[in-house]
Amino acid sequence: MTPRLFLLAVAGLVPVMLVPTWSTASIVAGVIVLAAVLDFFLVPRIHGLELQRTPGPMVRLGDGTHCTLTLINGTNRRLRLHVRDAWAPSAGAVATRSHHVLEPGESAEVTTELEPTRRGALPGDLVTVRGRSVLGLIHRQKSIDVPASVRVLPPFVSRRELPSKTQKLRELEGRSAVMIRGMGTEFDSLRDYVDGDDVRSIDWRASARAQDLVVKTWRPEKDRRVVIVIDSSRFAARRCGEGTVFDAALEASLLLTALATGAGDRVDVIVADARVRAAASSHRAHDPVHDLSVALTPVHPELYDANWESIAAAVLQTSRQQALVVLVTQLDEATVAEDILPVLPTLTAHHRVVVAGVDDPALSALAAQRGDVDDVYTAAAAEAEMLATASLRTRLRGLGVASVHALPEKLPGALADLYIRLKVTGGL
Amino acid sequence: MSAQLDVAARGTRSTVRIPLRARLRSASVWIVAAFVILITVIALVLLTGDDESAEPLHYDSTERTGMKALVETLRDHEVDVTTTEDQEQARTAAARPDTTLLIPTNTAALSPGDIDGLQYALRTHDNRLVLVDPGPTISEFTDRITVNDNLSPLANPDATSPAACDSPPARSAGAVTTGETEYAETTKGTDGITACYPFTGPGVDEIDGAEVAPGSARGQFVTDTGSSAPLTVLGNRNWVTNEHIDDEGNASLVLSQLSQTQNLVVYYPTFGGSGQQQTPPSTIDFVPGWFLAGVLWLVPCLVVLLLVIGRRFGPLALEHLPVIVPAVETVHGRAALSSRSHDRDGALHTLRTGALLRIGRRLSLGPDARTPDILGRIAAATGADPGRLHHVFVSASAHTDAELTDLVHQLTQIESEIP
Repeated sequence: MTPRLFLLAVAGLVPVMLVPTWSTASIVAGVIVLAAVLDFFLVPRIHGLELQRTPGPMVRLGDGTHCTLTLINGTNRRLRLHVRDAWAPSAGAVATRSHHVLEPGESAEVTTELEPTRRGALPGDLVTVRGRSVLGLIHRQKSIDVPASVRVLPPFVSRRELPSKTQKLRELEGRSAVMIRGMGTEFDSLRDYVDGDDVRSIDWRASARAQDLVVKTWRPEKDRRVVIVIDSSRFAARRCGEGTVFDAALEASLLLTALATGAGDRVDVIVADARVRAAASSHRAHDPVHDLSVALTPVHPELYDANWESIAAAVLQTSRQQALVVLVTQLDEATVAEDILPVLPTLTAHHRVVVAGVDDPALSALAAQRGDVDDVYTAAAAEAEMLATASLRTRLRGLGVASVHALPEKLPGALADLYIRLKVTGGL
Repeated sequence: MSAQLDVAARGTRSTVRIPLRARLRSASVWIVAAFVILITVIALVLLTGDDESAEPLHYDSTERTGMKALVETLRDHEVDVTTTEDQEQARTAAARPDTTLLIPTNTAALSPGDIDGLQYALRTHDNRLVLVDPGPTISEFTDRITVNDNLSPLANPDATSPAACDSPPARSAGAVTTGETEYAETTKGTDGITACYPFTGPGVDEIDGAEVAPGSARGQFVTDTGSSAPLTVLGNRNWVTNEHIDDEGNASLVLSQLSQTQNLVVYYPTFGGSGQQQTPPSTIDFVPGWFLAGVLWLVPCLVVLLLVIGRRFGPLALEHLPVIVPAVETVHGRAALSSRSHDRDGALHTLRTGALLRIGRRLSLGPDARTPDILGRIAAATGADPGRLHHVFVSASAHTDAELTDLVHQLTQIESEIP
């Protein structure tokens, strides 16, 4: 039923009020019902309508995209259509309704602007088509599933830290031979000695030739391997500040990937919980960060426990040569003691392992709040949690495993700093 | 790269004709619902059609005070019994030949006009009217019979009354149960009035000064064949009730009276049933017809409008949200547990350790610094009393919640004083 039918019914007021008898009312009502029934059969069937959805380019969270819906009239009648191109609310479809008149064989395109509010593969919902006839008293509607989804990549907010970190890495590379000895084996160049240089790096033979003190400079090794393991188990689903722990882990791994591939290392990323959920490699990739983003986009944390044995196996399979293995997980005492520590020796035997955890800003806020008795108990519980994490990090350090524990927005930078430090000290 | 992915993700689907079976399956809910509604409506109609009245002397009532036994007995004996609560119907039925009209109760609900109408209908074929214990309203029907007030207030009639008259039905019925009211002729010696079953027993005496003259024909069963419409008064309602109809000669008397004609009309007047003609004109009578028609026409218009607005343009869009665990809940849970078990020492120890570690870091002490070293550095840095520091950080224990809060506040204050 359309507004036109309502207007027709209202127009029926005139004869009914002019001749107020039951017979008038029944005649007018009969005419209206007859017109509606006639119109119902006049509405062209929309079975012959072909629909196609073409998603627009994939975007980072925060940018807008679009999806094009193509309507092709495959019937031999003119179609008057109202179309609703429905999308999940988080896809942020701006205007979803449109009106079309399609001649037989004609096609039309509707572009629905999307402003996604969430990372992931956001699926399109049903397309609802409403057809009406020339009279337009009755419309018939149908909802059709036209599968399509837009990919919204992680926002990668921390890419603004990338230039400064890259710069830092370059500076340290240049100075590395001067500051400390033995953090690289690859000979880079010779240069004049300046005060403060390590005397052990003086190249005596070159100095004898040049009649001046000349030092060797070393460059850290390239083509090292970095394996980032992102835990997508139930710990990653924890809310942490604005988003989840998993979001912060994605950010950190994206920045580290960008930094490490820029420095000439090869990065492999494994997302795993009870099974390996996604894997990506910078090997032979044109744009490693983009590829990684695409691979990680549809993955969301699930309420499983992580199976660290299979994760360790996946890491060992990924890289046979020595690598920096970064485990981005929750620094939870029970999990680390029972699941991670037993598999650590197999990893540390071949690789250098770093554990990165996301610090919950709510914890320190709770620990600082000490008003009444309840607050004190809550502060004590939060403090206990933080102490447990601190003691765990101490234990890991004792095992030769470095760890990073930072707030969600600081974690990418902290992990990048750790990487630079290891790189420069020849820890890779 | 992205273009390839786009093509991979592109979806095409043309609408397909849905087979009849699938359509039926999806419509099955509505079909079942329609069946259920239909069955409910039929059941309701049947139940309400079989509805039994519980009003006294009602022809459909199976209560003790009801009259269904009488009506059904008469029907079993091939009397054509018409039962109605509608006066119009009663009047029409009473105008048929060979008919008796029985008004068992509620005669007060009838206006003089109603009674005239009924009597006019009865007169067309000289049909009989039978009243059951009408009381003072008998005067509305006839002026020849009245309630007998010529009775001593000390009277204590016997439980059963003998016929005491020459009426054949009364004689054959024998004694009947005694009621509370006696009827008598208005004027002594009126022709055509037969009265049976007078009160008998101790104290039943005539008194002086009553309206009914002494020696008038009186009794609980009075027939008047002398007026234009024959009238019979059954002066005791117990004679016809389900409970007492089989006592004494009640059934014989009543059934003989009601089975004299082929047709019997039982009219049960109801209060307010016939009063519609008298209601004053309401405001709606002053509204012009065209306006009323317009307002009534707006009702289907409104229905159409609701249908137009109410139809959804497709189902609600679904959102598959990722799982998010509120992690801080565990902290609150642990806090509540330790609060309930009054683990003050544990809470204090944790907060002291945390504070000492933070202070040690801020004062550039190594992670393996001992508590006395840290306390010494605090005293040096803030000038605090070492005894108080020892008390707050080491020795004091909290016995009450107030002490715990106080100690923790001191702890926080000392920590905040560290430069």
